Amino acid sequence: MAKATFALEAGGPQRLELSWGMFWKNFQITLDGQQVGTVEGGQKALKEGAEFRLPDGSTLHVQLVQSAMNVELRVLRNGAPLPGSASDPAQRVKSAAYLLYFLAGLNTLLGVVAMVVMSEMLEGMGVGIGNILFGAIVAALGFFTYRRSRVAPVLAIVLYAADSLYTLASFSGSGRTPPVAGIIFRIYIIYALVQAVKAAGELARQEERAGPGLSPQP
Amino acid sequence: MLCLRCHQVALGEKPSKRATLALAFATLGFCGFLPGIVAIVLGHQELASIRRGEAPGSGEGLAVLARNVGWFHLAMLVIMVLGLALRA
Repeated sequence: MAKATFALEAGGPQRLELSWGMFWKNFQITLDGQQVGTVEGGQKALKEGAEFRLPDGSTLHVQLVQSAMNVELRVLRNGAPLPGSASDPAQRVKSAAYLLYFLAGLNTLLGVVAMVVMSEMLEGMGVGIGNILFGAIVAALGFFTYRRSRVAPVLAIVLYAADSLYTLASFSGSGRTPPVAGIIFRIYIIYALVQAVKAAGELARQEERAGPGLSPQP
Repeated sequence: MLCLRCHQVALGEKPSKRATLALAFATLGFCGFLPGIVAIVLGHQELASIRRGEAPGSGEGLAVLARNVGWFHLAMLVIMVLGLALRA
């Protein structure tokens, strides 16, 4: 059984538990250990969405949303995404930042291996100290993306789009077919970054609507 | 169950400065690896503070990321030092 737990409010205890079996069958929702509801019918029923009343009177909406690039379980309470859920803009921004840090680490690892091993094959592939520099730039963009900058993910999109075009041009120039997996992965990266741009904008709008907080900042 | 003050701290919207600094050092580590060691220390300290309820829970993600990236930098430093030493 797969499961996911959520807090009902940011920073609160994770009281809500969603669990499901293979192909999203036997989908159950419990709050503080008490069952709130179930969704029978597996993936098809979940795609239509289901609503449940929580003990505090709020309405919980769960829905499976499938797009070209991923499958997302949307969990909304009174229309707002639960903290940490896939559709929570803060979670989308964090996911994009984690992706950028992962890519930075991958490039850095390749660069370090190239420096240590001194392989002709790696040199032929263009792997070298440039990867370490690229990794540092991507990490910096990851840092500012995590800090909810709207500019950083845009710059990362431009960087990866340019890198993809350069890679495609290199392969075309040498008459080789670019690897399909690599192209798909790059499309996924750009898709995740576009989601992060939208999410950072949504977070900025939420902060403007909320206004200054009542408690003093540390 | 957290006490009222700890709950208020946990719900604090902004992460602490130490959490942000930890991630900053983790990011700087991509330019030389040594700052990653500072990120490990700061990340661990921040996580301990969060568990005690002395720091906002919103900094947990930052602290975990900083700590993990810091360990990555330490591993890269060891690989580089060992690799270059063996080549010499």
